[in-house]
Amino acid sequence: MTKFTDYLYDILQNSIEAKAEHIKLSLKRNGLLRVLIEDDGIGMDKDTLLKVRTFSYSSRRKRNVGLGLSLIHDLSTSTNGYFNIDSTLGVGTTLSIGFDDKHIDFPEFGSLEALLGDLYIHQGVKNFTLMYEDVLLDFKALGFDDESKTMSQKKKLEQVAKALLTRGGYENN
Amino acid sequence: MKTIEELKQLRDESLKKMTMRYTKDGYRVQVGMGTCGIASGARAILNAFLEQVENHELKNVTVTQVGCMGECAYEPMAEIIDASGQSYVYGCLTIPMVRQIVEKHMIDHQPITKYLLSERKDS
Repeated sequence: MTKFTDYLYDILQNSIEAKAEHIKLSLKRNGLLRVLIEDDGIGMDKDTLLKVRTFSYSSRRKRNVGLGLSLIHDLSTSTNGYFNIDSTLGVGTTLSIGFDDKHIDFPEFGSLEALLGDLYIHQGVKNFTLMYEDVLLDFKALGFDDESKTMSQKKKLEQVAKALLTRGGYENN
Repeated sequence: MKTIEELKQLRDESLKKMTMRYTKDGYRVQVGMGTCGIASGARAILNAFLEQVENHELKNVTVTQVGCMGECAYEPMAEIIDASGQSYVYGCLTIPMVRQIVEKHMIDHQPITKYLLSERKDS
């Protein structure tokens, strides 16, 4: 992965696959870059929770290699961060990960508004909320519901998101 | 009561929405969006397919995300399945290749064999 937003997109696809109705992503810089992902999907049992950090576990039946969570776990540990995952069957999953984004092993951040656009156009996303520092962005509250997903709507959402995020101190470098 | 203009606008919007839905006839495009796909740039490829389908106003095409397709070295990949169930897998995609695939394969119905990884027919 070359961009941090690709890691996030990959991890958020797990929530989509877990049939989450509402996914929340929170990004805050407080010493470390702190990422919190909360979903109301099907969740995991305790045995699975212990295995997801490793490459040799996957929920798929075809293959037994799972890269998504293990890659972000390794990125957090190699950048002196932290990785916590908590899940309850039938309730949802909470992922709390920290990174030192000044660390030499931390990738380029990528575009947050493009991430939002790509999540919006994903046919499995029902509602999504982003909290970036103090800026709150909610697809439904902004009028981007899952009924009318088109590329023009996606571009409009990206423009709105960029304007709101820039006001909140976000710089796309 | 809505005016004719408003009704026409509603019809156009609904037709555009249909590109994101599952259509029984026509083409189904499945872009590999597993970790390997995303790492190779599948997000841009998915956007390119969606953009081309919308630009050409193709109503009989469904574009969806799927997981790892098993040939990670050839990512970004997309599988195109036609109405008869014939599947074509394209590998190592770039945005100009997506444009050609949409124009030649999905509009002119001529698969681009030099970009194909495999093809099979589900019985």
